[in-house]
Amino acid sequence: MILNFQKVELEKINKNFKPLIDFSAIDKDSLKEFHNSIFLNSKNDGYIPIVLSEDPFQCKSILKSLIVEYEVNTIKEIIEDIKLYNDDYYLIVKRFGKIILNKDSILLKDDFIEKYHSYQIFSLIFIMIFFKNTIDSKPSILLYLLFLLANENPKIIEQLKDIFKLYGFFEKIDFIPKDFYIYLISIDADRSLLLELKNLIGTIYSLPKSIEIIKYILICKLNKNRLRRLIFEIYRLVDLEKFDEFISIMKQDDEFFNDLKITNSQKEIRLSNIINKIINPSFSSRNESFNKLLNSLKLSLINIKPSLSFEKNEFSISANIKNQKELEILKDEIIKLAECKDKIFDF
Amino acid sequence: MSKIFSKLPKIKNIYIEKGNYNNFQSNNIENIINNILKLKRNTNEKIKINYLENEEIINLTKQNKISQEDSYDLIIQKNPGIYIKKCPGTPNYICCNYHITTFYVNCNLGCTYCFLKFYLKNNNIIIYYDIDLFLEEINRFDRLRLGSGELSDSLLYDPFTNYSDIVMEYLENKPKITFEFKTKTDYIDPFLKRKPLSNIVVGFSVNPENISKILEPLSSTLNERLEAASILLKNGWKVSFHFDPIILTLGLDENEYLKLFNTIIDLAGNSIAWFSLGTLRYNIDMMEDLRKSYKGRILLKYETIKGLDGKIRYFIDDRLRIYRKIFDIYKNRNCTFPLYYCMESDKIYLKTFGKLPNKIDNLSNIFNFNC
Repeated sequence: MILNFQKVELEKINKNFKPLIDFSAIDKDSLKEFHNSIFLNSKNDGYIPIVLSEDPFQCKSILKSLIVEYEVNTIKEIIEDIKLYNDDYYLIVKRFGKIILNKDSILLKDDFIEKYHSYQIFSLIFIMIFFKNTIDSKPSILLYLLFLLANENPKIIEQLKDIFKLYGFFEKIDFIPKDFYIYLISIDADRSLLLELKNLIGTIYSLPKSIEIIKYILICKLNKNRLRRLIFEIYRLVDLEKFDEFISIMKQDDEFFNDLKITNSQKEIRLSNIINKIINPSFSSRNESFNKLLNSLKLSLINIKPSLSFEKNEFSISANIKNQKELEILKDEIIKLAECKDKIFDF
Repeated sequence: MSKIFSKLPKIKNIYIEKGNYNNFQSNNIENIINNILKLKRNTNEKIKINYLENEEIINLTKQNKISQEDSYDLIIQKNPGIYIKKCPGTPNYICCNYHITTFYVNCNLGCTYCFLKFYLKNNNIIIYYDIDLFLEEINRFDRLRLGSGELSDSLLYDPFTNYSDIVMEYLENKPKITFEFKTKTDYIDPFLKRKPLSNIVVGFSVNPENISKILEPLSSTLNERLEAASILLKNGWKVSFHFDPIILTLGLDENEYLKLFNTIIDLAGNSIAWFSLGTLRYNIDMMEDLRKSYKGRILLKYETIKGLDGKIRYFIDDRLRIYRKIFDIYKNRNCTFPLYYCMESDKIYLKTFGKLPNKIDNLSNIFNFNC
């Protein structure tokens, strides 16, 4: 049985598409050695079996040794052909020509065909497996493609949990709501971020109310970098045995966080303030006192910044002057500043 | 012989780098092997000795796994670099201009806070056999303060090598070269066999008992180290002390440092050669490793910030608090021995001493500003 992606490309999203049957490309007898298998055919390298199993983790370990049979140059060529942002993911699969299926494959069960469009599933599986070896250098490829597929067919979203599971991202799979997977795809979460999340979830899983953190991430719609920083901060909360305290304080602010009129960035600022006060109490309080002092000076032109984390005995001062009048104001502000130098250098 | 050696892991293999040894080096290798075999004679340790080519030695030193916790491989090789280097310091913090030399790489004491296991990723111990080159290098300097405790304990492998003897013999007539053997052991036999030298300092790195018994499990106990320091002082040797790292953590009373500081002043008074202080600091990537063990997690139970050098440190107010407490004792007890901070900011000096180290009388010799 051959699923021809050339055909798929022509027919684009033809939902009635059925795989063609053709055993000519591979010796029928040899197929028996590969139960529940898909075979990839690259032009020169021969058939590469991709073993599917009902146990995704078992399947993953078998694949690892088989996939590396592809030659580096072939992979490089294919990667170069990928145009990530033009929705043309068919190009990737087209390069491989055919996928040959064992007729006993679990993927050919009638109910499966009915439920999903096989070309999507096959390409999805292929993409996941193929990019396993290259994901580190192009980490967002897999998730971007998943995102495209999910957009194309919402039913696939329902399969996201399995996909993430197959890919080994989350062991505590039931811990995570479906929306969280969609959120991760929408922020283009890369492999390293997903692994960091996986480790974090493994760490906080047993803590009471740990699921709440997922809720707040979703509410604040943190971007990729902020999520990465939050992971670090949550570890610090756990290190300092303050995770429970953090969740309790957040809960007191539930009204604020659930208010749809308040923007995500305002919520993110509130989240950051709460965390900072818990994990860096001395620093936060020093920062607050410093800001109070600055406010009391009522400087309109001069900006004063302490050294990073107040580490050094120095401050940086800057001012933007637009006219002569402002220059006069600046003179007064510098005098005011000099008068309270002791207070400033007390920080 | 100190009790510490019976607690240490066993040697499994000795790997010796093949090479064109000169007389000193071949005798040195022979002495090291003989010393090890002699020391291990009454134990049930079966040690294999292998000679390897340079490439094989390099592969061994690059290993990034610990095969067995209770045993290690000893690698005897030539030093691939130079022996005497200026302490690299750390950007934006004040360095005391110490010079470092490396006779050994890695350490079996397994202190929880130690960066060595994080960077080296294995528990092989390297001994450089060509320290005749160190002796040659030292001739280039008229005046120097240096020590061998950067990448290992200065005295932990001394029973194998007798390097302290070699160094002391050579420096006997070079009074302006001050050498510090920095250790967490109480192994002082080599010093008690000879007359004290004014340019040799034995540095004891100490932490209060409540910290030491948890985080320095294989080191000599605090009392053993203090006892060793006391014996050295009585015999006319110079000793130094280091509170580095000072560890602040939930549930452990930081005032123990003050008690210990007082105890050391009672013990040694102003005859202390120098006393350095430094709070815990580590690379941010070490956090993940620390979280893997109960003891490691103890180190993470305190507020930290990212310092100007990118390393994780306690917030400056907390560092200042403990330093001020120690400095107050130093002042109130009229101490005159040099006290300084290791890798601290100008602010710490200004807010304790009221001035920077180049203006502090008894630090000019230590910091050797003209060097």
